[in-house]
Amino acid sequence: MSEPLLEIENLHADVAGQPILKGVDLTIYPGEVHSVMGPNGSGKSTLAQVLAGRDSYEITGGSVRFRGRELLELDPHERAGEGLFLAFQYPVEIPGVSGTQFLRSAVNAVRKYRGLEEQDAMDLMKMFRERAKRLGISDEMLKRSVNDGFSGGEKKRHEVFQMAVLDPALAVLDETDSGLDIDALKTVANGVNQMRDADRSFLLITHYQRLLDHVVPDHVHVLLGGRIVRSGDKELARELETSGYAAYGEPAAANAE
Amino acid sequence: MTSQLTETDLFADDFARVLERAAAGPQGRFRALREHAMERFRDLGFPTLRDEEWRFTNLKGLKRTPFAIASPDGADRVSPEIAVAPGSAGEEAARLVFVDGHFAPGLSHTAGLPAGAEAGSVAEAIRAGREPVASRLGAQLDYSDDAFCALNTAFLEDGGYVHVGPDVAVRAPIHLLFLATAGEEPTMTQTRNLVVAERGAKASVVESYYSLGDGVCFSNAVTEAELASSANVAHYLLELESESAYQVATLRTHQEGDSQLDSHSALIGGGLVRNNVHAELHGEGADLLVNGLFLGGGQQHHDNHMRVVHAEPRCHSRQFYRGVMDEAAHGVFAGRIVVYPGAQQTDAKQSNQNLVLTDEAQINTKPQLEIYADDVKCTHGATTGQLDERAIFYMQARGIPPAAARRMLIEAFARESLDRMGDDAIREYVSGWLSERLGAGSGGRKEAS
Repeated sequence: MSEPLLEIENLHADVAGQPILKGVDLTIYPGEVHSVMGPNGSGKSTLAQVLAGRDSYEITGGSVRFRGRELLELDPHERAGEGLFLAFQYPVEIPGVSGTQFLRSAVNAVRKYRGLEEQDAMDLMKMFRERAKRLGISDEMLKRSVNDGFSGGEKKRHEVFQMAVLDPALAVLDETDSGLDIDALKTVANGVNQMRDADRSFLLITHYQRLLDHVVPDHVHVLLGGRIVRSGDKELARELETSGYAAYGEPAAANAE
Repeated sequence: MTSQLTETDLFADDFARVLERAAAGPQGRFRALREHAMERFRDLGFPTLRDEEWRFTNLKGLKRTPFAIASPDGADRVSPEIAVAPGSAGEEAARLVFVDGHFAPGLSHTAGLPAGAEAGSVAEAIRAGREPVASRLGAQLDYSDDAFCALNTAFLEDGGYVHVGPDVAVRAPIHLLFLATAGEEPTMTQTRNLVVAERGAKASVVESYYSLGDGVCFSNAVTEAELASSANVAHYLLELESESAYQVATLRTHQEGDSQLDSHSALIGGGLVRNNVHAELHGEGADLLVNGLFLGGGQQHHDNHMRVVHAEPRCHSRQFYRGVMDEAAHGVFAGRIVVYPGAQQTDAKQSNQNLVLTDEAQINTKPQLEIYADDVKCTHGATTGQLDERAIFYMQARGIPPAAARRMLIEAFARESLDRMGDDAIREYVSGWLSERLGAGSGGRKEAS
């Protein structure tokens, strides 16, 4: 088997002195789709934010290796440069910065990090249009300020569009399915499926099973009380849908999402 | 030659020199005006922090510096290449260059002005008794409570004048370019400009200030603008001097009915800058836009003092000022809307928004309304905030380094001010300065954070 893409070992993290992650272990190989499921407060979003490098979380133990490098030592933009992408649960509005300007800066910053030349603005625009079209994102929406005045569904589609543009090695989708109607959910799922290949991996963080009807995972993990309490295949997701998380005895509820 | 600014005898020797220089030619009413203004300035003295309108701007440094009036031969020391360099790449109908406050004909041109429009040196116009300077310059300007306007009038020698005849439209901007040689000896210049737009006239006037050296200089500039009915004038003030420069720039405007004035300011350079925009709407249907951006870093101090007077009914005014304070910069915005009795159906709005980027930087903002009519719509508001840390993280998560993310957010904030500037070439030019300023300042220096 090839080298792991991501190796999380015994990861502990606090928010404001409150332990949220209490020893997470997770290994993802290239080309795999993993799903982490769990109830509110189980630490799912904390895991996503810690991977992306949000500094309001304090790492109190453990390690994360990404493509052989110690991820936790890298700044957030360096992690993106290494090929990590986080689709935000709550995408941030940036008034005054257009979607195209934002993505042009992002693509070229990542290229610069990898020692590549900047890409021509015209070529980039062509690429943006082509990928936007697949996700039902209009030219008008591309020109608008990032996420500014977007509906919930538009924001999520825009996250998946950004993922398609940035072409990551590992995409972490933090509850990208929440708040979507069935059509938007299918659009998002198609966006993910189109990008699945033998090298690229996904970590789908979700509360519900319904995204997994459209993006079928290779592995499903249950996160509860800051630890992965069970791992299985896609059948585990279905099981959870019927039995809920109560079957796992609900360890003392964590305080933050 | 130089004079310490004592409260009893400010600039006495310099003033004598100016009178002596002026006496060499015909000067009409200006001799009496200068003497009257000098007397007023001596009575007023420089403002202090106790003065309500100067509460946030300490002039101690200015008062302590022994400034001498700049010699009129500065132009001889400036190469034409240097004088050509600053300014937007766009077409200009005329460019009047002033070196240390004195007109430099060899560096100037008025080739693009259409018939019915003229521009030239105030000093030459005074000597020649030429209108509109001969009878209108200073005729309306009340300096009784304004020490800097009094001082400027006392030392009134040169500056640019622009006169656009009835229904004449000047398409490309007229650029008044003020270069300070800023050598070792601290010098002061008292520039006086006049813009007269007759009925239905249209023009853009750019007033820009640069220093060629890093020495200390003090520029006290006053621009009077008169807009007759239906005239349309855009005025741009670009402060791009070194951080050793003191500048007081005063724009006093008078608008008749249905005229339109757009005042744009971009304060990017300068050490201590006071930007006064005092506009009066004296005819029904007059429309005013006051748009400004101030961007300070280091120890820069940018003080913006706005006063918009609605003297007649049914006038419309909009003020939008945006400030960005980085490092230990200090910004001030004081804005007052005054509505006279009888100025019914006034529609006035004022907004000041600020970004304060560090703990050392500060902003004082003071929007005020003074309303003596009862059927009016006046609003004002001010906000001050920091960069959105969530946005910076979001951008970082997309690969954009934090310094670049900060820079993009600051540019986006400033963009709104730039977008109101109607002239594409000027907007691009200011945008270029902004990028350069951000590249050298908050963009790079914060990389380590």
